[in-house]
Order: sequence, then structure tokens, then C-alpha cells
Amino acid sequence: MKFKFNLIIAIATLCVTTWSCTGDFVDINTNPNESAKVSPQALIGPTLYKTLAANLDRNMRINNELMQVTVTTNNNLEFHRYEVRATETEHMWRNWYVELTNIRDIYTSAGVGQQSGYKAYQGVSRILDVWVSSMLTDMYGDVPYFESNLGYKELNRTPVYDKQIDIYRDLFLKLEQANQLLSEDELPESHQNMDPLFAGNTAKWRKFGNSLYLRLLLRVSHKPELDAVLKIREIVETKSSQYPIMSSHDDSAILYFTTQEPYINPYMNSREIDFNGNKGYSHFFIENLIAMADPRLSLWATQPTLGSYLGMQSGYPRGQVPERLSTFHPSLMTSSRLGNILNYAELQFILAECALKGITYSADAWQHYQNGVNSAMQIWGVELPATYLSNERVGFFPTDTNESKLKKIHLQKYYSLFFTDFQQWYEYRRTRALDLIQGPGLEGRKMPVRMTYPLITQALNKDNYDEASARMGGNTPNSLMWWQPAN
Amino acid sequence: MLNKIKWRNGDKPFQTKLIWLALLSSPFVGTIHASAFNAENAFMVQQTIKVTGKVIDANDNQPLSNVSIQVNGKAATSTKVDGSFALDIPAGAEVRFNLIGYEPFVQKYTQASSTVTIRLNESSQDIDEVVVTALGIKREQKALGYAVSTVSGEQLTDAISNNWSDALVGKVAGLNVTKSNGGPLGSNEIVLRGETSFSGDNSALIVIDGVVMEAGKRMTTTGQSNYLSDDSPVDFGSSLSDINPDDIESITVLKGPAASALYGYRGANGALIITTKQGKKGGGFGVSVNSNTTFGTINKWPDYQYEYGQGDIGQDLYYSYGQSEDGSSTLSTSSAWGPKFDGQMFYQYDPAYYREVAPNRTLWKAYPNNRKDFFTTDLTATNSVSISGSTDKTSARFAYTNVYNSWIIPNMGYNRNSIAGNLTNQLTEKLSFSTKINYNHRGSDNLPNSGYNNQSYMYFIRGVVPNWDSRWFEDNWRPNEYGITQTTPFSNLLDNPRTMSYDMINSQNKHQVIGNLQADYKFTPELSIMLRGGLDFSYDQRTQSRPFDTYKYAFGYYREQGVYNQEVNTDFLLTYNNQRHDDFKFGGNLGGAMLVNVYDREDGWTRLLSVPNEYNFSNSATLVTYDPYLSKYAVNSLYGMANGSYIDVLFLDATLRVDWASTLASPKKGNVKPFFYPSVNASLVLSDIFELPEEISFWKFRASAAGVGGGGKRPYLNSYTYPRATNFPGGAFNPTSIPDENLTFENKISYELGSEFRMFRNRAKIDVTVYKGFNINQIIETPIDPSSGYRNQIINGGKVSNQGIEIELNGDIIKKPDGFSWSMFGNYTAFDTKIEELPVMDEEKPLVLSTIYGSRGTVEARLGGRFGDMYGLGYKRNEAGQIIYSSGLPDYTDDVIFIGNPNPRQKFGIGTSLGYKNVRFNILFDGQFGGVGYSLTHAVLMEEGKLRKSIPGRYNGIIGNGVVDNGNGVYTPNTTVVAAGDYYRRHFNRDNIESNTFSTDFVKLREARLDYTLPKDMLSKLKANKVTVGIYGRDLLVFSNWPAFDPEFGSLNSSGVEKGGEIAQFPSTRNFGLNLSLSF
Repeated sequence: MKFKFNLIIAIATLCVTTWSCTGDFVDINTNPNESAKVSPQALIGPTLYKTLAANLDRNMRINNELMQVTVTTNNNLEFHRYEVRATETEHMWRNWYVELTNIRDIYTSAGVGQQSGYKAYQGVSRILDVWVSSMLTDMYGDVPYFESNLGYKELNRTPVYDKQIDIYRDLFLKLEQANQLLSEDELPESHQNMDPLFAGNTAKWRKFGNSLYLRLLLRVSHKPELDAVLKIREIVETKSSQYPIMSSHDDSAILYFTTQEPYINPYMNSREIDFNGNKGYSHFFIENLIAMADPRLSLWATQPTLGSYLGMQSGYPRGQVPERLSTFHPSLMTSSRLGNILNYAELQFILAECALKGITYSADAWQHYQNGVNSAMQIWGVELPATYLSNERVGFFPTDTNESKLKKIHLQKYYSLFFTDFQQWYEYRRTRALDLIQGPGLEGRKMPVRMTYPLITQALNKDNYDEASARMGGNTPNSLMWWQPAN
Repeated sequence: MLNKIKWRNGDKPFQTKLIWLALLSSPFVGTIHASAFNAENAFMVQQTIKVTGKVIDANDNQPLSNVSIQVNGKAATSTKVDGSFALDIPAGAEVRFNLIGYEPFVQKYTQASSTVTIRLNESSQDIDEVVVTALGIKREQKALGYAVSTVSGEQLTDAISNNWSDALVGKVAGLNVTKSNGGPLGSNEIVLRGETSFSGDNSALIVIDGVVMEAGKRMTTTGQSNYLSDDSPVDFGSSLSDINPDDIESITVLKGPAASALYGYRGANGALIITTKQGKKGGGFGVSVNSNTTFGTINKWPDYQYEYGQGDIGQDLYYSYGQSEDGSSTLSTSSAWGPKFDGQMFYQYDPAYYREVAPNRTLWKAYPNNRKDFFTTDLTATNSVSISGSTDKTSARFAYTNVYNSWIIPNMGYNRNSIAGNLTNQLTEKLSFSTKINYNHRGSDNLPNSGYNNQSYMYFIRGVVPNWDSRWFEDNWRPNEYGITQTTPFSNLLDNPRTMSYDMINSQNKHQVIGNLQADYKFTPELSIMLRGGLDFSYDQRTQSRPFDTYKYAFGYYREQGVYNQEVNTDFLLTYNNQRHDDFKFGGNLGGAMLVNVYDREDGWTRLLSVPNEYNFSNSATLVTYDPYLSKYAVNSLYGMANGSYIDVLFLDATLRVDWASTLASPKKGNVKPFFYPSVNASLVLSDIFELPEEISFWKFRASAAGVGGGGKRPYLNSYTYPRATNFPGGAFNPTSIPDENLTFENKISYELGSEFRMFRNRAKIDVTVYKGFNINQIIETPIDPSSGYRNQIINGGKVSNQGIEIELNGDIIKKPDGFSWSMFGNYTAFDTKIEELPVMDEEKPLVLSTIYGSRGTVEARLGGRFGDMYGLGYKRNEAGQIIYSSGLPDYTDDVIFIGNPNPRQKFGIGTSLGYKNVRFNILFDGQFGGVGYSLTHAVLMEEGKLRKSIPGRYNGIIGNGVVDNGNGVYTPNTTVVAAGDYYRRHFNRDNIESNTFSTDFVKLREARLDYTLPKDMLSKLKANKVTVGIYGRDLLVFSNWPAFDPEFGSLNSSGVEKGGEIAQFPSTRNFGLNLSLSF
């Protein structure tokens, strides 16, 4: 009996020691599928692609409807009647902020590893940061910025909303920094295939950054606070050697989609019906192209009846759904050209506007405008027709006022921004330089000048939301953000 | 005074009852009484005699060891391995032989004897019924302080089903089976007492002969979402469905955490303890053969209309296949708003003029069987043979089963072969070994795609219009273009159904082994130890191929998956049982378990093939996407149970368990902390305390409280890691969910009270249980403001309660000696859940648990709501509740509204069994009430004018019943006439969740069986033990208002079974079968 008692104690001891021996549990719970560390180059491709895919998705759903590119046949989608449901504004908030985590991590991980070319990576991170942050603030106004994306690092899951002017000030600082960093360091040659945008060409990144600088400077050039006008002059005229900008179509920031993974056109595997089945081009979009005899029309649109293109009425009254006419050409589903970020044509239109408005002195608006038109054709691989620039809706004529010239610049810019996130809408909100058609279904509603803060931030970041919303005079689509001119 | 109380002889003065009850609350009750009793025994000194003999099983004459022997109510000794015993007792002493599972035997001896043979009878399902509880510990049912239900193997095979777990439906109070509705393999999820976990894992633990079947329980699907996605989910079955019901001896259902506390958190949702059949006792050799053949036909169809043909809204004047002299083509719509079948002649499809206008007009008519023609009869043949035998030391059983299934969709089905074997060997008096092993192979040449998508058969079926002839789809490839160009006479949007069943292949080849090895060693009759290793592993190879020219894959598709699942459990259990005192018995267990679970998936696919009809990666025209995944977790546990009983009237159990879970081990901190949780339960046999009328044979009261903790089953939630960006060379991204580096264990607490009452010599039984539970501190993923840079965070939090009542009734109404018998049984459950706390920052806001119905609705946890509440768009109404119309059509709400809850509030089962001599007839009804479901099938068929209820108003239009908003708060009745098509399409648009949601209440005639067993005299001529011939039916009648096929459904989705919405469900079948079983 005594022996057995000892045996029991021995077994019990053995059991307790073995069973509580959990030394390998930490190893077991170390994720074998994922990496605990990351290099900056690993993040660039996926985040660029995902951001562009998200942009394209909402460009098609919201921007194109607001900006009379397309008109939906879905009676419940009312963007074209300037009604934006509360649930519609979350997608961008969600996707842009999540990608901003990756973009800012490029900066952090480059700094941690300090591998060769790390400063150039930091510059790249700054540019992408500004690109995404500017889309955010231009869409919503005041948004979390300085405290955003710190959910893990600083356990801050309810960041405060920052004022748009402060955000813009910092965006400009980041672009200065990027310009500096990219002038000091080069992306390593061996990383070429990790950079889908410029294949490791540091100079092109630098030009992209400074061109983006001009896009944003012009956007706030009517506000005196940030001395945007002076800065534009510096970049374009007085200190141009320190601020290289895009000099040809080759410098354009376009991620060319392929028909192969991973940079596949996001619509490549869609059903045609999902791509164009519930919408058609608007009258505004088609009519202008026809009037200008624009060669891009046949690339972009289908013919509802042989030999003719037609658009639908935007802003049709509720319940009176018109027939679908010209639709997205199915070849767009495999097109490489839907990944535009900022192209040379847009830059030329920016410069043309600066010249026209006297922001810059030396430049010639007409010259920049022609460059832009030319390059916009180049993007789609078509030749500029000989008569195009003399078309009355295209050319600058002596009778044209500055305002009508501005409209021509912006009409061309509108087409050059086809499939480009929300830039058409942002530009229209700034300039109103397009003759969009007021449909009968609008019933007096005005073009929204911002998207409302999504429900998810209202619910989960309530105190900060309340503060920002009060500052803006209410979370409505018509509340004016800092740079937004009153209509 | 206490020592004068004789509990068992009916002398129960009222005062003593009161004292006794008062003492119940005293922890010293046992010792006080025990010592008092000893004092009494001291007076009994008389002449001593010697009695020796043997105890055997009355049935098979096998010796019974460890039978406890009491002399004059005092424990004396117990029998040895060979059943022998020797006693020195006072002359005239009363000797009582007692063994769990047998009826006690009492005899007085006045003279010495050396040849006594005691035959013990196995106790029938009486008060001393023995049940298998957690960890396989056998206990007397009356000692349990919690509810258990037992289902016998026979009950599972009476009306056999493809998935044996279907046979649990209606038989156990509190048990709910959710079907995947995913095809012939029909994965099921078994949920006890309702869902309370935000993690989505609410199903009961399955334990087979002590081996936890966790690895294979995972529902194995591929594909994406079930609504218009690139690829549809396929139900590849779970291991659960591979268990052969013929091998099951019994199943104990442990419903609450109190019952399953010893299993830890995995048992928190209750457990099903499956005991498989053992080698036959009593020596010799037996063979049994069981053969079932089942035919299934579709038992319910939507109420289709065959009065109007193909045509979109407004195309009801003529029909034209292609542009003809009648007008432009109307061929490509899936709608049936077209012309009425009125004897007209139209240009229609003629297979000889594919995609061209036929030369002549033909009669415009309906083909009323066109949908049915696409289905066949289900045939399932289940044949098994088992051999069992034993010697005095060894017993063994071996069984082989083959299942062949050919499903209702042509070229779909599966084949399963299983081998089960077990062996028990008594090596020495003290040491025995046993092993069980189960091997399954399941193969299928093709399993169906489910959901609403171009590759799913039901997507096509809903597209069928009344004027199509099913024969037009028979040659699914164009002549000489096999695998290159499909025959799609009407719309390129609809793949040919024959392509789906013959050319879009989802094949499976799965091997599974479940086995254990166990050693038992008895130190003394009171102390023993068990050591066991159990293994469950499976390897599942699947391929999926799609030909060219299918809607989703113009250039084909090929995928290979290999899924390796493994769980190893090693455990020991030390058992001590002290039965020396007749009135105060106690015992205990000390155990430990180590568990390692591995899931390893290889996965590769290509969406572009070079050459048609060649399915392999060499033929890929693009990079093969490779996406492997490996996950692993381990849990170590130590646990103990102490139990005590006082004069077999009061029983007390307490357990304590400590776990170390790898899922809580922190790579950052480098450690893992243990967590503890206890449970306690008590049972009180009131009928032994109070003097009750003779009719009442047994009355017991029980109570329990339990807590269980757990680390969850999802590993890697507490460290920050970068996922691989699939297809991006060297690509990675930040996680979208923030890990919780301080993750701690979750907790489930439950309380249960119950009573069992038996009357008329146990012929009428009623068992009532009420329970309340709280699931707190759950490990969940909750949304956060994305401006934090992340979409979700992992946290511990939330509180969900569940409560309910379960009633089980049994009655042996007639039991006549002439052989006529009639018995009935029934069960009833009512249960409810409530969200008490939400783990989000703003408790007013809902926690969205999942999106359903193709992202049209959400399952939300809202404070105070029920678990599983569904939200979606509905009608816009004024304050009086009237529907608001604009332009004659109803408006929808701007935001989601509460739609309902898919979980029924009440369920019942009721059955009866009639027997006369050798004939037996069984029947079982069951039903549920209080749940709702969304029907996409209904929505789409109404949008397309295919249900009979879309007929009214086709000529004159319809004025909707509702009001028009005139502004300034004034509503006037709607008077606008709209076309019927517009009206129905708007009302029952699939976005209108409210109008397409229906009650899922039903009553089903679930099982019926009539069998005949050959009488004994005929058997002896055949040299057989038993021969039974039976006919049976399953799901024979359905009473329900459900508009589609079956009110019992789930919808397979990428993450598992989605409840509350039917997304193009498959029809269910009414099954008839023939059973023959023989044993020799």
C-alpha cells in the first residue's frame, strides 16, 4: 500500500510537471503563415494596387454618377440626383485609412532596417501618404490625420479629427521632405520589380511628388493662408531646378494593369453585366465627345445602334428610368489604363490654369493646354486628329474669355481624369468649370461638396466625431470644408 | 435519534425529514451519520458462518468482478476478477450484491454454503440507469446533478439518413441541427441550447470513444460567397457525417457546461459522447448484416405558374425567338411576364435552328414538368457487415460499411467505405488494453456548387421559364465543340445545367482515421488509472475543374487542394472510489490531457488554361496561384473531480480544471498563463426522503453551477504579423485587425435546475430542466474606426445570456403479456438568448457579426436583442404602419430595420411506438416555432413573375394597398395603377428583405418505420439470432408556409453555414427505404 501511495505521488508529480510544461506554446502560437517583420519594398506593390482598385471601384460607383460620366438604371442609386445615402461614404474611409497604414509603414520599416536606399523609400512613403491623405481630406474635410493609423503602435483607436488647413500644411511639409529625401538617395536597382509604378526610377518618383505638390497647391491657391501661389511660382519658375516635375507622358504616375496576376485589371474576371449592365454613359459625357470628334469615344463607348453613340439623361426623375444607351466598352475590362494616379496631361492642365490665372508669369496657357491635350490622347494610344485643336469646343479663340478658356481646360482635364479616383469631382467643386446638365430629378438639390462622415466613425469614434462635426457646422453634404469655395 | 431513521423501509417520520433537510446544508452530514450508524452495528454480534461463491451475469453467464457486497447494510468486500467471493457473516445476515448497471440482489444466509451462484440482471432503463458522462466516466443517472439525454444506436438507424446526425432531430430536447443545404454530403452543425458565442463557433463537442473529433468537425468548403461570386461554395462534408450509425452503441448528450465542464472550453457548448459498439460479451462469435436501400424524391416545390411564358415586363404581346416579323427578340430574359398561353403560334426555339429564327411558328405552350425533368431520384444504399466475438480475456468487433449515393442532380453523389475495429484484452487481473480504430474513405466524382451563382444548378433552375422544354438542354456542347462552346439557347448568362453536372467537376478523395489506444490498470478495487492516446486525422484531396466557355471562366479553371487535419489527444485519469461505507460513499478523479491540433492546407489554382479539357497545372496559361495555410494550437489541462453520496439519496460532485492554452501564449511576452474554473452539482432523490403515494416511483431534484474558461480555437490572435500578399512577388501588407497582446481566457457560466419524476412503476417519466447561462469575456473581433488604421481589433468582451426550459416525457402506456405494447415519448424546448453587454466603445451601436443574403442584410448584436437578430431594408411606413407609395410603387426604408431572428423559440418532437408480437411500428413528428428566414428563391421568382401569386393584375394592373405622402404629415390612399410586373418586382425585389422573409415554422413527419422480426422458432431453423425486415420513411410530410423548398436550411458560405437566409436552396427529399438486418 505504501509503495502504491508513492507511485501515485510520483505519477501525480510527473503529470503536473509535464502538463504544465508549456515551453513550446509560444512557438506553437507564432504564426507560421505570416512574418513578424517587413521590408519597405514588400509593401509598395500590394498597397498601390489595392488603393487603386478601391479608387476605381468607387470612381465607377460614385464619382462617375455625380460627374455625369455614367447614369445608373438602378432606381435606388441616387448619386446622379445628388442624393448620397449615409451608408455610401464608408468604403473610401475604410480603404484609404487601411492602406495609409501600409504606406506609413514603408517610412517606418525603411527607417528601422536602414537598408540601402532607405531614404528613397521614405520619400516614396511620403508621396503616397500625401496622395491618400489628400484624397481623404478633400472628400470629408477635417479628418483624423496626425493621430490616425496609430491603432496598434500607440493603441489610439479614437484619433482626433484635424483641421483641413493643418492637414494641408503638413502635406506640403511631407512633399518638401520627399523632394529632399529622393534627391539624397536612390532606390536600389535590385528592387526594380518591387515598384510597379516607376520600376525603381527615383527621379520619376521625385517628379511625381512635385507634380502632386502642384495639384494640391493649385487646389488651395485661392486661399491665402498657406502661400500656395508663391510656392507654385517657386516650383515652376524661380526654383524649378530644385523641384523637377513630370516632363513627358513617360513620367506619368499610372499603374498599368495587366491581364496577369498580380496587377490584373480588377474587372478582368467580372461578368460583363456587373461591369456595365446597370448603367450607361450620360448625355453630357457622350455629347461633348461627339461634338469634339474625339477619337477616344470609340475606345470607351459601345454603340446602342450601329454607327451612333448616345447618352442617358442624368438626374432623371425617380421611377422614370431611361433606357441604357452607350455603355462602357467591354474592352475596358481588360484595359491597362484604368490605374491612373496623376498623369502628365493633368500636370499640363494645371500649368495651363496657373498661367491663365496669372499665378505663374512666364508660362503660356495655350502651350501647356496643347501639351495636355496631346498627352491625354497618348494615354489612350490614339493620334491627335489634325482638326481637333481647331474644334470650337477645344481650341482657344480670340473671342474666348478667360472663363471660357478655363472651361475648355477643365473639359479636357475631365476626360484626362477618366477612371481617376474622385479628382473630377474635387476639381469641379473647386472651379465649377464644367457645364454639367441639371436633370429634372434634382428638385433643387445641389451638387454635394463633401461626403458625410461615415456611420462607422460616428459610432466608434463618437466624441471626436461630434467635435469635428460641430466645427464644420454639421455633418452634411453641403457643409463647406476649409478650401471649398461657396457656390 | 438519527440512527433510528431507516431510509429504505418506508419508515419516515415527518420530524426526521425536517431534521434531515436541515442537515442537508451541513457539510458534516456524512460523517455524523456514518459514525452514528457504526454505533448501531456494534450490537449485532451473532454466530458466524462462511459463504463462498461466484457472481455472474444472468444473461451471458460471464463472471462479474468488482461487485460490491454489503452485509447488513455495511460494505464487506467485492468480487474478484473471476467473480468469486468469500464471506464470513453472522447467521441470518442480509447480503446485498451491488454493481453499477445491474439490478441489486439481496439474499439472507442462515447456513454456510460454498456453492452460491448469484446471477445479476442488467438493469433495464430504470432508476439505476448508467450513463456515460464526460471523459467516459460511467455514472448512475440518479447521481447526476445535470441534464443528460441518451439516444440509442437503434434510434439512429430506424430511418437511416445520409448524415446520421439528422436522426438526432426531434429526439433530444434542446438540440438543434442546422443543415448546410450544400448537397449530398449535407454537413450539419449541432447546437445545444442556442447560440451565444460571437466567434461563430457554437456547435457541440463530438467525442467518439474518448477521442475528441475536433479536427474533422470543421466544415470543409471551398469557393467564395454564395451570392454571385467567381466561385461557389462546395460542401465537401465534415468528418461528422462519416461516422457509421450502425457502429454507434449509444450517444449521451451533455447539454450544458455543468455536464461537460471536464472537457474545458470546447465542451462549453455541450457535448455528444458517442460510444461505439464493442465485441460481443459471453464468448463465441456473431455476425450481423444490415442492408438499407433508400429512395428520395423531391417533397416540396415552390408554387410555380404555368400560365404565362417568357418575356420581360411589357413584353406580353408576342414572343419571338430572335428578331422576326413579329418584332424584336424577347429570348434573353429569365422573366415570365410574357404572353399568356392561349393557343397562339409564335416563332420559338427549335434545336435545329440554334440561335436563329425558326422557319415556322409553333404552338405557344407550357412544359409543366420542365423543372422537375432536371432532377432524378436519389438513391442511397448502405450495407454493413460486422463480426464480433470474444474469449474470456479478449473481445473484438470488426465492421465494414459501404455507402453508395447517387443524388437528385445527375452525376452527383459519393461513395464511402468504412472499417471499424476494436479489441479489448484483459492481460492480467489488473491490467487491460483496448484499442479502437476507424478508417473511412470517401470519394466523389462530383459534388454540387451551392448558392446563387452561375455555376450552381439552382441558379439555372430559377432561370427556367414555363415555355422551355428541358430536352433543349440535353446536348450541352455544340456539335464537334466539346468543351469549347456550350449550348446556351437562350442566355449566355446561364450555363447549361448539364455542363454543371457533367463538366464542372468538384471531386474529392478523403481518407480519415480515428483511433485510440487505452490501458487500464487497477491498483486496488478502489483505485485505478487509465492512460489513453487518441488520434483523429484526415487528408482530403480535392480538385475542381471548369471547362472553357462557362460564364465565369471563359478559358477554364483548375484547382487542387489538399487539406490535412490532425488532432492528437493524450490523457490519463486516476479514479478512486470508496464504497466501504454503505451510507457515505465518496470518490474522485484526477486527470490530465494534452491536445495538439493541426490544420494544414495546400491550395493552388489557375484561371486560365491553354488547351481545353485538360485539367492540370502544366496546362496553365498563367501563373498558378499558390496559397497555403497552416495553423496549430495546443492545450494542456489538469482536472479533478470529487464526488460524494449520502445513503444514495444526496449526491454531490465538484470539479476543478486548469488549462494552459497555446492560443493565449504570447510571442511578445514569451509566456502562457494558466486559468482555473470550477463546477459543482448536486442531486437529491426526494422519493427516498418523503413518503409519497405509491404511484410515484421516483422523484429527483438536481442543481448545478459551472464555469468554463477557454483560449478559443483561433491561434495567432495576440501578435502583430504581416500576411503575404498573394501573387505579389515578395509582397506583404499590414494586418487589418489589431491583435490583443494581453489576450486572456473567455468564460462561460451556467446554472441549471432540474427534476425527474417517474410514476406507475417507472412507466411514466417526466424530466424538466431550466437553465440560464452567461457567455462573457469572449475573444472576439470587433470593428473599430478605420481611421485608427485598422478595421477590427481583437478583444475580450461582451456578455450574452441564454435561458430555457427542456421537458422530456416518456410513457409505456400499454405493455401486455400477449405482446401488445404502446409507448409514447415527447420532448419540448423553449429557449431564448439576450445580448446583455456589447464589446464596442459605444454600447448603443450594434456589433455587426456578419453580412447575409449576399450582403443585403446583416446579423447584428444590439443591446437587449436576441442572438442572431437580422436587419435589412423593408417597407417605408407611416406612423400608422401603412406602406408609403411613390408613383404607385412602395418605398423602401433608408436604413436597415429589424427583420427577425432565424432561431426558433420553441421546438418539439413527439413519437410513438406500437408493437404486437413480432411487428413494430414507430412514428416521429417534430416541429419548430418562432423563427424566420429570408428566401432569395422567393424574391427572384417573384421579380421574374414565376410564382402563381404573381398572376393577379396582369391585365389591368394593380393599385397597391398603402398611402401616398402628401408632405406636411398628411397621407392619402394610393390610387396609382401600375403594371403587375412593376408592382411585383418592386414589392418582392430581393433588396426588400422584409417582404421576402417568412416564418420557418414547420411540423414534419420525420420518421416512420414498420418492421417485422422473425419469431424464435423460425430463427432456429435458419440458425439465426435475429432477422428483421423493415420499411421506413424519412421526411415524409412537411407542414409549412415556407415559399421555397424546405423551411429547414442553412446556406453554405465561405466561412461556414449562414443561418437565416436561403440563397437558392436545393430541394429536399422525401425518402422511402427498405431495411434488412440479420444476425447470427
